Amino acid sequence: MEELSRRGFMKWGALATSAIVAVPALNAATLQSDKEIKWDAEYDVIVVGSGLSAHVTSIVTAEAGLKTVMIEKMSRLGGNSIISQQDFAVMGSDLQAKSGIKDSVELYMKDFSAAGKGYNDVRHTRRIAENSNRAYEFARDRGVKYGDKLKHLGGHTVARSLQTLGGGGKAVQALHKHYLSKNGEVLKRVKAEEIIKDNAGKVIGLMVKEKYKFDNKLQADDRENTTGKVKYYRAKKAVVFATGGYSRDKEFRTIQNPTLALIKTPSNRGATAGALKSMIKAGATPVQISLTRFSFGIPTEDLKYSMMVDANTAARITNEDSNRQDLSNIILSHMLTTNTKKYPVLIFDAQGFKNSHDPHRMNKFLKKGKIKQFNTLKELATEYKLPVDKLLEEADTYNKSIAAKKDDKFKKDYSKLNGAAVQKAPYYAIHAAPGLSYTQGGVQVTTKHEVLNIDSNKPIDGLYAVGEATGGVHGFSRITSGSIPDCMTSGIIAGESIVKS
Amino acid sequence: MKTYNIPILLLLLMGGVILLVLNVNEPKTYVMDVNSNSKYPIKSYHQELQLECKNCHGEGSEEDYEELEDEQCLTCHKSKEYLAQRISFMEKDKTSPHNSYHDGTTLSCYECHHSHEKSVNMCADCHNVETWMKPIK
Repeated sequence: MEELSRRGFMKWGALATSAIVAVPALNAATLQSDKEIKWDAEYDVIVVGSGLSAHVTSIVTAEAGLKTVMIEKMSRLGGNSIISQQDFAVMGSDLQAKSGIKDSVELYMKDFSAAGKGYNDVRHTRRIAENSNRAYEFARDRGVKYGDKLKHLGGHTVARSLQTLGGGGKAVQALHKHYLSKNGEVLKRVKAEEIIKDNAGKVIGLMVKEKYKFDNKLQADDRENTTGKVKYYRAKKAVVFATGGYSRDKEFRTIQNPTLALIKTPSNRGATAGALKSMIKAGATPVQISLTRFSFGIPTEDLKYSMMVDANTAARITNEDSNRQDLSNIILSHMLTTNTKKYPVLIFDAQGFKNSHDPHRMNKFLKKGKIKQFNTLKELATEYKLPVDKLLEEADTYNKSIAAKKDDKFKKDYSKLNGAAVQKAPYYAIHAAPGLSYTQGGVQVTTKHEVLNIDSNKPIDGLYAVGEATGGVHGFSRITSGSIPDCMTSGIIAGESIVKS
Repeated sequence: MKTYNIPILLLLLMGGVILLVLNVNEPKTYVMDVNSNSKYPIKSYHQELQLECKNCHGEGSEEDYEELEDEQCLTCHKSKEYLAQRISFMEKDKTSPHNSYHDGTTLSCYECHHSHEKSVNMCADCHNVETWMKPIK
């Protein structure tokens, strides 16, 4: 990094008296003349990242005979893709045809846009809808296996979500094997540090660090980590950022949204904002960086059967019947304003627990000890360190208001409760800990997945972004099972754009 | 009718018991060699084999040594597939770390195993592993 800056400085220092110095400071660090650099390696296409989007992009370019390398900063391949379930929303699949399910591009887009609340770029929503079946067939033809039954998931008007057999792990393993069979190259522990452009502004390669050793103990690995050897990789055709989101980057996400300081995340350790920052420094346009998506582990639809209480006072804090975004925002703001690090407690009684629309998942949580079972509320209070008297009083008030069919405090619609309250033992409890599972923000891209320059609003020549690394695609929230069709269609289209370029 | 040499049988039996007792009393405690003066102490299971620095890192001074690649670990430990095979019984519960549900056999040894410092359990980052794994050597 130092080396590059020094060179950059010398170059611009020599030109200091000429008018050319009017280049924005943002771009100065990334401008390099092709001739100055001694390249350590040369490829047609460099794909940064190794998750689903990276694999699909790399497969398309490798199959077209382009010399392709996938570089991954972590020692582990697959990013968040290998730890995800990978339910996959597809419009017009053979399974829909077999079950006689009527679906359309418009209906698919309507469902995605409802989750996005109009923040979503509909050109991308259409891209996902129109190409989702092609992406499914692409993956299936290259070894990914899908179940023979469709899931009808929350927010989708019809059943359209495929089940990836063996989850994301098996899917990526299958694609990886296929990629290697097409002479694709993979380098682990190589971190993209800076995007290098020529004087015309075309992206011509990357400054990378080889033998990078990601350090989970650092507050900001991207800035503080000093490991790795600086090398220069030339990309003759394109550099593709398939670098995922930044949900593990506490510093960056908290700058964007202070309520995210305390949030838990199931994301992989490497999900930091370094790659996004590299693209911004190269002139990319950041979009909707503060938007994030949450999940609770247990089905959000089931939370309405519970009573949610403050972990210190045992007082109910909100209407439990809401969507994942609103509930998470309420919980996080509540914790911030009451200055506590303790997540609220969700309490189900026997009937409430029984009402779950996904008992298998609830029982799995019970078996794993994430949900705890108690014979009395007193035992529950002891375990969660809640004031016993206050909890009993709150439960009594809650039960009485259910009997009276009127929630004066939070206006919950009690007609949906199907007998649930806090009165029939055994009782079940779990912390209401929203998990940050996805970051909708990223860089703006065209429908060919070219990264757009913030000054010109035109594509940065040679730079592409795919999957979660892009921004504005899903908007306010992302519909469940909507990530996989995004990752796959963006990978296919970016790959095809590069091959044609 | 066969005749048995009772004293020898007794001796053998006693020997077996002694061996059993010895085994129980001397569990392998796979700790780091804290007494070592080296900046890079090795684990006791490598020490028992009387391994020296050069056996893994080659000739040269300590300062020039580099971290081994997985392939170098495997010159003794055979292959990742072999290691996975040895604990294949864990696969039915999807808990085998050497043929991981998420990663197959692609994980780097270093995700969990460290020769000169305390090993960690990568799976424990997300899972409660106590029910299905012992602490990692």
